[in-house]
Amino acid sequence: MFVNGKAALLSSERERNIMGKLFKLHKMLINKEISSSELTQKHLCAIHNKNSKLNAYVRAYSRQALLDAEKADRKIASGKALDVLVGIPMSLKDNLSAKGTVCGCCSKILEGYRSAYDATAWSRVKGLGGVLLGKTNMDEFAMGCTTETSTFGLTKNPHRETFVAGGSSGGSAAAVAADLGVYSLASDTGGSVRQPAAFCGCVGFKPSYGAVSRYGLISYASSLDTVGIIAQSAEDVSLVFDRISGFDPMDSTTQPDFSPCSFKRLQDEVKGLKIAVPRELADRADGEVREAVLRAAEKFEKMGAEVELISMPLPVTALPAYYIIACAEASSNLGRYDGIRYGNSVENYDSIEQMICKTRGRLFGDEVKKRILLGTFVLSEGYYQRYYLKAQQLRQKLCVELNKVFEKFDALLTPTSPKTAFKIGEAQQDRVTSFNSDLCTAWVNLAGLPAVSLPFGKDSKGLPIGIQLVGDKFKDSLVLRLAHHFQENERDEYIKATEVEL
Amino acid sequence: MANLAMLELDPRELSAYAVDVEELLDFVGRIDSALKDCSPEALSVSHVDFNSLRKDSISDSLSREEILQNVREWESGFVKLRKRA
Repeated sequence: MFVNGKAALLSSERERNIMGKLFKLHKMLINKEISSSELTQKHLCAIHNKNSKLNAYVRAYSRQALLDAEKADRKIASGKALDVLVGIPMSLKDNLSAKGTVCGCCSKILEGYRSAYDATAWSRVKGLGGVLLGKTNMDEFAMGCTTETSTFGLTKNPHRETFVAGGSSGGSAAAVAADLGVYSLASDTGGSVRQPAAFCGCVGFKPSYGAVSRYGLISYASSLDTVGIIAQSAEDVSLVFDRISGFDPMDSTTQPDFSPCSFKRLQDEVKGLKIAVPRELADRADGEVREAVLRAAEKFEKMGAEVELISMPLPVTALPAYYIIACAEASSNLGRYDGIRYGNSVENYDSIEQMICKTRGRLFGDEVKKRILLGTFVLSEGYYQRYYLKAQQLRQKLCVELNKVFEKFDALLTPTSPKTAFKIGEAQQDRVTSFNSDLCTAWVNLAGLPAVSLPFGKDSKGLPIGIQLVGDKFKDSLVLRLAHHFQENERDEYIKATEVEL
Repeated sequence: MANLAMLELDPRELSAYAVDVEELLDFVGRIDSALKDCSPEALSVSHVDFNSLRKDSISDSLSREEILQNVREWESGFVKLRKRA
């Protein structure tokens, strides 16, 4: 449903709009071709119509969103210099805090928990006049690759409803792909922004560790967690990234003086940049995905970049280190859920200890409990050195090797995921499929690098294929620049990958 | 391990998780092969090379009432728990 017939304009111009949609909507708002209230209403109606099928949102804040949109309209009417995010409707993954709203990580244990403060990334968007439509579905505590571990049930893929949207940020990716929000802020611990973005035909960006504050992001694995962005183009991602990144006194891991200005550099030349394609990652992908990566490499060459196929086995062998570190940190971070200070708890118990154990045993889902058990095990006496210490050593080795690679190359090109979207239930049946889903992405988090997933065509099942560009630490602008040029050069493939069924 | 992790599991969960966690351990056990042929020097440096310590700065924080808003029961600024059900 669209207001005053203006939405017809929006939908008929879909093809043009998805490239740099944010800027175009901003211009329409400034020129009074559409108001933020109308735009917000349009998105809320789309959520109302489509969400029962997709399950992308777990909560929509209609009343507050319309109030915020009215506020944005008043700002626009005042004619003052306005930010590009003013009046633009967006969403937050259910693990990012927005003061006064429920932030449940799609878990029973946090049912009803209301955030006492705003996450810095959201607070920066809110300060610029952004409109929050609601919270999106995710795997419980971001543990999973399909959103099937969410207490609200899985999110379906907007391209084919018998397939998953990916995870853990499947709700955010499906929402952006199905036009239920212009962009979404989500988290990426081992590929949780990039993999669902690839499965749903969106652009998913994981910034360098330390580029965006994690304050207000509910922790899973603190040394790997990153706040990322899902949007329909690299240009939109860049505009949002420039606004949410930078030092935050509330997060001591944010980098002082980091100011990417990535948007200003989007148009800079890519000619002469050196891109490596790690053979081991491309070879582990399905035929059609591998072929897409090699085709993308040729396209980059035509754009003037120098592309070389290299051997780099460590990202593949480092996957166990990712699982050890992530589960170890999760077992520690999730220790705070005792049913006393916040969240849900059981009613019947004989002692405080029993209340805590019962609450955690009954209200955490299966996947979360398994990862807590594994994390507890690898940190326990006698096994710490056998697993955790070795994982940290392997992480170090990976960083050293990657430093050498980035002395020679500007970026790496890989598949985002070895496969396109799984059939519903497939990953739950086969744990190897589930582990390998993180194969191309988890090593990036171990090294704290920036990476972006771009849609590049579809496979024979009609599902989008994602390719990934990885840059050196804090070279976020370069990664986004390469992504933008690629999208501009491959408009047809890009548009094909974003056409949705639902 | 479940006791250590403060998780009360029923017998069905215990047997199902034992299989799955065993599978996970097999998978993460592959780490040994990845570390073969690795010099001690390559493993000795911290991977965190940019996270310098900063001076503490004292600033306002959330009030006790704000922090306690998610607690089921509280009184005079303290969390209230029943000793027994």
